[in-house]
Amino acid sequence: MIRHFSIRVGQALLALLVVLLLVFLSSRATGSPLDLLLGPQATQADYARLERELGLDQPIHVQFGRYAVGLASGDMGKSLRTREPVASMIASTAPASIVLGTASLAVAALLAVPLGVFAASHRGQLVDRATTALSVFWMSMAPFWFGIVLIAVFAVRLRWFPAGGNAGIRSIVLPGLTLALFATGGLTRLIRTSMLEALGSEYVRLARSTGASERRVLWRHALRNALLPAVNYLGILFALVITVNAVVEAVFDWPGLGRMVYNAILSRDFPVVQGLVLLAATIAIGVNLLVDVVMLGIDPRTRRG
Amino acid sequence: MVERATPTAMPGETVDLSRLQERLRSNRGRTTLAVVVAILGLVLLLGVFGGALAPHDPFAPSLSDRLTPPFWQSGGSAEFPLGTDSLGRDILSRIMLGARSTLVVATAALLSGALIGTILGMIGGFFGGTIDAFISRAADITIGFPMILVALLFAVTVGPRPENVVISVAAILWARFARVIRGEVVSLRQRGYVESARVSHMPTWWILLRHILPNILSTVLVLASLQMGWVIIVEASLSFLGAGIPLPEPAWGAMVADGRDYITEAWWISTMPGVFIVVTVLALNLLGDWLRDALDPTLRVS
Repeated sequence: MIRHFSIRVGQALLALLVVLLLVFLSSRATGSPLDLLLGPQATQADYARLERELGLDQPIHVQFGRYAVGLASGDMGKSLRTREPVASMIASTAPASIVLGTASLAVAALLAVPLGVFAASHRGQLVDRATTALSVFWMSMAPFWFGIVLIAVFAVRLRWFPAGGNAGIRSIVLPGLTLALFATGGLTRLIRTSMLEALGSEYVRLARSTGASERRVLWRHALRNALLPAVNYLGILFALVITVNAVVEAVFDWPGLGRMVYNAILSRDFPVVQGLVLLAATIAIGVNLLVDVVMLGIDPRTRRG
Repeated sequence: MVERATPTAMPGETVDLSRLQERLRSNRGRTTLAVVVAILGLVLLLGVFGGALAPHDPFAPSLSDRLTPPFWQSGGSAEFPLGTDSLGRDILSRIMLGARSTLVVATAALLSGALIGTILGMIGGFFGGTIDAFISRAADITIGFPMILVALLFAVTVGPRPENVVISVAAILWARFARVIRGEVVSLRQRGYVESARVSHMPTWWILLRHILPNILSTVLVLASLQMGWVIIVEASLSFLGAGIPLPEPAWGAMVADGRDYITEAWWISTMPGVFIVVTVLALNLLGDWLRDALDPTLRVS
């Protein structure tokens, strides 16, 4: 148990190191990062000054060491556009993204679990076929386009909800719905499949033979086991949600990290993009590690080599 | 199943086309399949000939025609069936030309991801041991990582380029293929004909090519059709974020982004290319589901 745990932690740290190297090298991929930082009007003197200031005259492994130490103390560089430290920009924008992400994932789970269970227990019937068709439809939907259609219908035409920004509870409805429905498709399909598997298993047959009610069999015995793959899927879902979140925030002008990365790409604000990529990678690796550890705890089968 | 003509053929030696034919002869889902194939055929046609068939120059601005609505709305005309954008460019023509860049980038990403993933999956599944553990773990980490961020990083350093989309999509996709293929190969390795080929000292590459590869081809095909839709969505999302196919080359995702600022006065600029994205992806997913059911019932669980 301890051995498996430390192997997983080691792998996560290794993955983080690879990402760190990648992000570090990406600024040097096109030659000098000074070109990115200074822009076309800079003079020779500007170059020389900034080169010394940033320590770019040092050998590359020293540079990487400094970069890593700086990160560890919370220094992610400054935005080229606003001159604000990236770390404090992230700190002030993150809450909006966390609210949006949590609300959408909660809605997705509330929709997907009952839908998946009903579809599986009514296999082949209308509920099942409708659910399957709907989840294929949702998996085919481009989230950014769906968001724009929602704006055109519910904000521009009907004027029920604001088209963008974050002004009160009504603002979260449209972006939240876009993100939630996107996550629901895959999750429903997953729960349906693992429910079907659970319903055909020995322990469900045993539960039935002891005279447990169908409802108890379904929601207690089968669902509990069917949720295991869903927990496993959370890590993958999180990686997807981070990506889609950027798109949804850009569409709805939601003042979170996703919009921040979108604006930074448009203005070529390199340190901001770098910082956000690093943050997202760290979160993704962290969530996956957490899922692994939780699985080790609740499913003894994963403990075997 | 149809009896094989050559009795010496080993089971599952070739892609099992008999099952496909059998499924085609049955009526189940035939209408859907016909519609799906027609849609994909049309998209492919657009991808190949779209630029030549376009009724207008997709790049030529015409300020007097700007923001013309589609033909069924008042103010619209048959000259611009799907309307024009903010520069007066014909949306239908841009969609037709955009099909090519969208398809080329998506296909390149899919092929490279599938190729790398299949090779690594075969190696891991066949040889086992340390190399298998390494490949499997790398695949696990890749699948849980938002690799799209790499494309964003490229976009600000190297600039938005189609190659970046191909590289970053392939960097995720290989893992999805490697995982499934590895599982298949592990079970194939224990089949009698593979064992006998091994004990009769056939070279490893020969066994992989002659006995393993033909048996996983149908799985690769099913996976590819299921993943193609996802690849198109990712490509479109990146173009939408300004990190994909660079302007002014029309790409479906970038066209949706283009119309965002005009959503109050001209809903069609964003809506039209989006309809093409969703319909294409839906058709690909339905085709993938159909192929999976027809070719490989074991995949249904995953």
